[in-house]
Amino acid sequence: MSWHRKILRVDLTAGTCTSEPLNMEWAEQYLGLRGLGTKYLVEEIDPTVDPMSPGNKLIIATGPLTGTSAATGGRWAAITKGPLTGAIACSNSGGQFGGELKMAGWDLLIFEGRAASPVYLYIENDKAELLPADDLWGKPIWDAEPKIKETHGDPLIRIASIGPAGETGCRYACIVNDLHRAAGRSGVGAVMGSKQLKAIAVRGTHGVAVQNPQAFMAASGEFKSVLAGSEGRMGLTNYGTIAMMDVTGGYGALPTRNNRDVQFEGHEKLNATAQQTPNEHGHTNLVQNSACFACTIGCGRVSRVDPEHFSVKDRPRYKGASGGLEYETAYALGSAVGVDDLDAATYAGFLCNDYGMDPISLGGSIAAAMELYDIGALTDADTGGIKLEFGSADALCQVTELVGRGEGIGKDIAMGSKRLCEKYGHPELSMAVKGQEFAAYDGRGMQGMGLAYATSNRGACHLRANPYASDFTTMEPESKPKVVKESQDHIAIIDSTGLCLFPVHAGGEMKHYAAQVDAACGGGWDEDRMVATGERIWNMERQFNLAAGFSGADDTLPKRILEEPAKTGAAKGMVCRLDDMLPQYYALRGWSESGEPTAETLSRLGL
Amino acid sequence: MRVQLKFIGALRDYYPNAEAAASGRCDIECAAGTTVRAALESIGVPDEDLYFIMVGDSRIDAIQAGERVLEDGEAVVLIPILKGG
Repeated sequence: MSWHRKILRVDLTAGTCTSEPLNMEWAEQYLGLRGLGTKYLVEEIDPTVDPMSPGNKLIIATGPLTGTSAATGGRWAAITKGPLTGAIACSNSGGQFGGELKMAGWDLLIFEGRAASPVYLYIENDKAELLPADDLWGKPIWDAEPKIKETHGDPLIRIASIGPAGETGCRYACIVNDLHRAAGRSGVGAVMGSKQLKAIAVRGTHGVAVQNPQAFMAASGEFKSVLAGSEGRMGLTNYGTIAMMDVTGGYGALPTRNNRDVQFEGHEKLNATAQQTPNEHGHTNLVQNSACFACTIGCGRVSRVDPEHFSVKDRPRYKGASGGLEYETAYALGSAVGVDDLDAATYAGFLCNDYGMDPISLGGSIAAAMELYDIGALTDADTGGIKLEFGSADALCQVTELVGRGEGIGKDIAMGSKRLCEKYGHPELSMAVKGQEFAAYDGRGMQGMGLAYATSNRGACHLRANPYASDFTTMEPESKPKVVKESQDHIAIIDSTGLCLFPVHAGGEMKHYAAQVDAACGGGWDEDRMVATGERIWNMERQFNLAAGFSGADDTLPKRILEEPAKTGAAKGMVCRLDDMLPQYYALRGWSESGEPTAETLSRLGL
Repeated sequence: MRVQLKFIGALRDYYPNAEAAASGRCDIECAAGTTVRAALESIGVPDEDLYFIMVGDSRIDAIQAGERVLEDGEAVVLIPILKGG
């Protein structure tokens, strides 16, 4: 019934799998997925724990709508203390894995301890067991997934696994499911690797029931109709998120060459048109779009690298069609590193999926390394002779593989830009917040996004607030704190349902989410309760971060964004006016001037 | 005088003909003193909330579009309002 009311506790040290009842009081207060998974984590771990130690836990969570027929109801998340940031980490993914896990009958999986040797978890409905993974350890994801399916003789098993990057401790290693979807950010894959857990393989046939089927069909039907008729949905289906490249590129909010610039002269070689237009060899990068479980948007891209391209010439493994560039990957493996080669970026994206790395933090870290190289702080001796220059597609491809393998200069870049820049004496060159690299928006051209980055609980992130419409309408900072605060609360609850966030860019509103949750969970979930729950979740995450050692002083941006004016575009001459926004944001949140929730706020939220 | 109009992404439907849509730009002749709005209206671009307007490096709003006079050789870019990604 929306919640199966059942969680699986996996003690990797002891090698045991135990079924436990879901804490329904918490489910009513935190709903599911991000909210409920975080509640379990904050109750069960010491916030000061080393993220890579056995004392940290990894929670895999579904939501009450995961696995239902609601449009986009295939989401799952990995929740842990993040090794990239030291802050709360919650990375959300789509694909088919989440729906399968839910249909096997589990709301949450909690991994604790550390296995003595590599293992993977195999779940077949109610049965769960840890199996040896010695022969899988070291294998890239594109080899490990088929191998597990072959072992069990079942091609319908759905798998979430880590690649060599997660095994070797890359701080932004991700967990990849269904070969090319990922719980990407904050290094959740590194935590999985530190536990010697290679994969989670699931086969589920129970299905997912809802409390009020008639109301649910009506609510989910309306949601689908809204999406079907939305201009935003059509844009996502036809062009994918990469359509944003022209917007930020034209406007002047596209981070370029480690944020030295806000516009990239090569952005038209990395946009939706470039992805869909045959090149000089007659090769078209885009093969088709793709959709996750129950999704009626289909924003995913499936691409193929030009077989003549240098990156794949002698590498048949990467000549096939796989997950193509989304806007974020096109930025991180394109403008961030000054590379305008669509095929090189696509290839580097394939490597990210195969080795299990977050392309955003990878691109941000390589961009930082390129700037260090440019100013002479990194030398050929450090890079092993690789000319790590902005714009070099060859260097991008070489270094991406080294990071994936944890070899050479790749070992340093795998630490993330913060640790890399500190090691080489220029901490100011890390374009990150709380240690996590920027997404594809510059906080000077988009003032609201600057505030969103600075205050995001998991470090810089474009998916924790929704200031887009505001930012493309006005540069004035006055209106931003309210937009950012309210959208953070909205997203926190949407991320806890089991549905995707993207319907909000395609006509979906809180009332649609609320109606579906209400029908599935047996009533009592109106819009007000949804938003109040979102605010509770946001503050719970904040409390964890404060207990982990963060403070208001960490709600900031790199000096470059605060002091170096944008050189071109609509924000030419402007910096991010964070100081004008942050006090108002704290006040709206009911936090002290130093960024701590007041006793009154905590009491109001039931925390 | 001559100005260039450019419509990004889904806005390519605004191009007046297939040739312009294929090349991704549209050069139009207009009289001295033509405003941005008048130039757009001359090829039938509706005044909608679906896009924002850049003239060179500058963002202009809907009111300014009715006042801002174009100069010879300037480029006007219409960018769809998108969210997310």
